[in-house]
Amino acid sequence: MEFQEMMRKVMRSRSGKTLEVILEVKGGRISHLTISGDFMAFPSQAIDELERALVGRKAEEVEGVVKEVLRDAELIGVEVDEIIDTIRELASSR
Amino acid sequence: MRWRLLRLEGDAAFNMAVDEALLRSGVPTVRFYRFMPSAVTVGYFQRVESSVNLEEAERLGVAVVRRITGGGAVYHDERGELTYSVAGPLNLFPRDVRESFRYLCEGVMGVVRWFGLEPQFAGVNDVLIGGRKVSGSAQTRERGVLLQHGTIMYATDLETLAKLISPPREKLSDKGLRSVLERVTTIGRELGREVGFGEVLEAAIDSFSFLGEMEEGALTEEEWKHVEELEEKYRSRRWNFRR
Repeated sequence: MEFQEMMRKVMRSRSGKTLEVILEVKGGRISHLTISGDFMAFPSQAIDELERALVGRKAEEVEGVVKEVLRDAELIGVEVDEIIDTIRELASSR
Repeated sequence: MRWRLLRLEGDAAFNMAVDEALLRSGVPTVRFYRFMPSAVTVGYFQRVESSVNLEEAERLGVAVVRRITGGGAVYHDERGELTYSVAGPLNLFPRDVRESFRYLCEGVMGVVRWFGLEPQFAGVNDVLIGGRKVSGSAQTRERGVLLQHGTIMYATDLETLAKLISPPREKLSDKGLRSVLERVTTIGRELGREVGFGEVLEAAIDSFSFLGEMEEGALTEEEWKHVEELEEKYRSRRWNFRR
């Protein structure tokens, strides 16, 4: 039987905002993901879209998916690489 | 450019429904309001459990409502904070997000100056007095319309703010309160006197007139329909606790 658990990481971005990721991995793929924090994103749907796009992906796919989905989005308070690093770290832990 | 000046206020769900209705209609509007009763709003992307002390909110009977705009959790003190919102077609504002924040925060800066104080613009969306935050703003853009809303604290109870906004694991200690008092302030505290809503409203109308001529108006029938529909969303747990 496979062991599953929710993993959570809260980090402070370089611009002093909070980024919190809650993530679950099943069979080596992301099965659940929430990205939250006090940052801003334009358009705001970009983050919801990113959460959907990452479900079913492996840790090594995270960077490509995030860059693709957020290509035309503008983020304030958090950078794309900070989102990638946080998600990838959780997705590949254990 | 002529702006519709709106004085329309209610509880948190109503207030957020009105702002979203403005975002939908795109009628150039400047709105000033209070949260009656006091409430907490969280940013669109925030997780409520991580940003608000829910035990304390429940104890104080303070509603927690999710905004359509990003940013952080805000305590809206019924007796100490004026909220502004500005909505209109994108072409009325600088296209660049940061520049548009700076442009609209001029309205807030003017309020601080109106009281004889010196404002500082900080980061992307904050206004400070003497290095302490007195105002924060948030913005969203949809279908060619911009909505920005923000706070102007003139007598906010900072002790209550410290209790509500600090996450549960950083339970209110003297240190928590002291750090809030070091980082946040109000116009009244800076002036060392009582400041009332009336004078802040007068200052705000005066200051936001930098945008253009303002004329008192009301919501259209269609906007009211949207408000009614949107209020339901802002009263639902599904929306408010979606993250």
